[in-house]
Amino acid sequence: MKLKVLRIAVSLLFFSLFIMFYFSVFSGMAMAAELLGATQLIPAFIKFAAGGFIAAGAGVLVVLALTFVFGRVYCSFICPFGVLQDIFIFFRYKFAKRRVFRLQKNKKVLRYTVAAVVIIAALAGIMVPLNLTEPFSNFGRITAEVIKPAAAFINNTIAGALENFRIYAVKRTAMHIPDPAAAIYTVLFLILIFFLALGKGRMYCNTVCPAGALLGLAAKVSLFKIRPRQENCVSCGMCAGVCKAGCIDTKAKKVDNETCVSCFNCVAACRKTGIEYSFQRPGLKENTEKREFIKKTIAVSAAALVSALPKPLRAGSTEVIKENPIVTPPGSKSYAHFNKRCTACHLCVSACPTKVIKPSFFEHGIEHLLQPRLDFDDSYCLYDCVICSEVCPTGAIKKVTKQEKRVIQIGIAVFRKKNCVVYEKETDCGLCNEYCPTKAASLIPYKDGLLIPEVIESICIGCGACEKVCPAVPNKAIYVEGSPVHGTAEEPHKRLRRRERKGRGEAAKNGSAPAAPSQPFSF
Amino acid sequence: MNRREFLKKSAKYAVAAAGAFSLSGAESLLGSERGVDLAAVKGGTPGKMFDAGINALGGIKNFVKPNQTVVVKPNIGWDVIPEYAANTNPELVAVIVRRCIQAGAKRVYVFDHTCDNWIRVYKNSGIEHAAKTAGAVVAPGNNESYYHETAVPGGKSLKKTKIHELIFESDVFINVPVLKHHGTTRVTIGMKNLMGNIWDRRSWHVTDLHQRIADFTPVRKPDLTVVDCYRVMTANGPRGVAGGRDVVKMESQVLSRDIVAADSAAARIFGADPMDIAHIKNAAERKMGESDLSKLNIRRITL
Repeated sequence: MKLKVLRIAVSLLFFSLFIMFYFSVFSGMAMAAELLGATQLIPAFIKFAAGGFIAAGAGVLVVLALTFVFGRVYCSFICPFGVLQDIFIFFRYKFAKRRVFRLQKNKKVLRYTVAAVVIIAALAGIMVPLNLTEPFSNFGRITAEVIKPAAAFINNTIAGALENFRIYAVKRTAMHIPDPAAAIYTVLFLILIFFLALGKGRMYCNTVCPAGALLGLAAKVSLFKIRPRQENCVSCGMCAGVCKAGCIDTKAKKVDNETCVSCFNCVAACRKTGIEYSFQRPGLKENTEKREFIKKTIAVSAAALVSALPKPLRAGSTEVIKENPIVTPPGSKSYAHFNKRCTACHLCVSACPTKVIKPSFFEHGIEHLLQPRLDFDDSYCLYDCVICSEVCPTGAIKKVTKQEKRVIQIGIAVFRKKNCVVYEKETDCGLCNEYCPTKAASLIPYKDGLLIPEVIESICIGCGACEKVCPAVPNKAIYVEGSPVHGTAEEPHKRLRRRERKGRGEAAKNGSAPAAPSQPFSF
Repeated sequence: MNRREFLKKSAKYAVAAAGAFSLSGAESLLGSERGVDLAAVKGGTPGKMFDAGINALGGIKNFVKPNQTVVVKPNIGWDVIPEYAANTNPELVAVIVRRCIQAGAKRVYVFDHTCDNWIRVYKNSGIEHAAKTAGAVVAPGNNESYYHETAVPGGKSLKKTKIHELIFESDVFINVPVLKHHGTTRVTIGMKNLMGNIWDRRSWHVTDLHQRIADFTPVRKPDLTVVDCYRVMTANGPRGVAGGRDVVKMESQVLSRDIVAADSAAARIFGADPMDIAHIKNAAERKMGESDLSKLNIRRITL
């Protein structure tokens, strides 16, 4: 009983931590984000492989060590997607007519095929198989696209009701406008996983999940294992009935430790001492050759991933398409860097305070399905905000400081004079200049005292503020072209000063700086 | 307050505004007989300057009566720290809130329709914390549901616009702009700060911005305008560039019942002729207030 209670307590702790993570409770706590991210096997591995992040690397090692010692405890204690399924399964135990689970075949061929496809595709820079199967990202998308919007709706309804009484204690929260395709996909997937969990328990973890496949190999040779005690077992089937992995064969009195997710339900359910979780020194009767082979396989594939991932660019990605709508978050370095590491967990989507980071569906290409991008339709990237880079668990968005971020050029603004209201209506506007944090959207004299924008490309960081606020309809007069490889912008002040000296500045041409008064104010 | 009450109150203010608009010329003529029109304070902290200035105008009790509700409208536009001077000084906001409560105000609201993400702006400007600590109710301005359509009497370009409910519901309206450079309007002071009371700013930008700022001024004139000139952004406004390098510590403050007078004095402190600022010139020509400082009874105080 004790082990099961421990499992439930720890798993709920992790689950709530991850939910809080997505609700930005830890925003600004970069360390908490780093530690939580490090517990997730695949994201942490990608981050570690990309450049030796200490916490991420330690996290991977700890998870592997835990599995070699205790079996797949990761799947039942730490993995939030596993816990989510356990919550669904709980309802089956409580309310279903037929509450018992049945023995499931160990679907080795399917599991290893999926894992192989995922790994090979990821090595080739195609992330879609990984992104669709990786458990943390699936949990993340469900949280970001379903749970969080639902919570925001409830919160804002309450806030709206209280505001009628001029009580502002509950703050309305910003919600990203979901990409319809991404949202529909996520809802359908949630429904699927709900029924799969109700009907077949942890089948997902033993067929599709690449983390499950890898950890299963380690669990097979783990020191502690669930073991039937041949002499005490009466083959009553109580343990198998509560086994959501379907890995207990009561007739044969055998447990498949490869598919066992170490939930300890069986131990708690047994009325005798017919099944136990116990230590056995390895190698006594097992096939050591096979184990060595497995170990080698893991080591080699890990090494292959490490060597393959950090390569800066893939051929083809660097090509600038003339009109480039994709903008990736500051810290993501380039399309190639980002596309290769992002598992579409949507944590950045969730954490972004302005909701400028949005999930995409096909925008990055089918091979990078669901990876997010910046969308300046109704928001922009705040000058001093680096939250996405702090929360990213895979290093797809590399951690950057505010100082660094202020000169990271994720795109460059383009000005189309013929769309501008100053040109079209001959009236002052200047909204782009007003919002521009670097004054790359500068104003120069136009005619009759009017001012018109001009882009200073070298100091533009592509934050999209100008594009968002530009009032020109139907076509924006100023918009951002994404940079496939992020550049470094010039320090704005130096550039602006140089410009003023050359007579192009606002003050120099009687532009926006006020003329000296005839009689200044005297105190 | 329900919608009907709101509309009633709006109508009342609209009539009052129209009245004020037509009488404002006469009012300013009487100005010198009524005592101090404008207080200009230099030296000292924002809080001390406010106390000196408000005393010169007869004390806070001249503006706030017991049991009244007050709305304080600072400039809380940008996600930057107070030292960059893109937002009103938080200490000044706190002192104003405290003085209103000491004068017996039932409730003091503080809000702005921010430019950057409001939650971050309220926090990083330091104003949310300062105002709450002083006892204010910090209200959001980021949702269209707070804004209600109101007619603009006498408006040449602006005929109607959606205005924040707290502006109309509150008995007293204290406008607390920060003086700074502005790319399009050259400077931003009191009248420009009123753009935080409305919902759809974008439409102003595409149709005669300067005219509309002036048009909107008499709709709900502030009972008091306090211009924060403690730190002044002298270029690259209204947001500022590169961590406040254009900020000059002027340690000044301007207080007046007359928003046009306050703006004219502050413009001169900035180093601009108010007649070069299109919206101030427009408002002065339409007699919304007095921009000729020589016609005002100014109390100059150096701390």
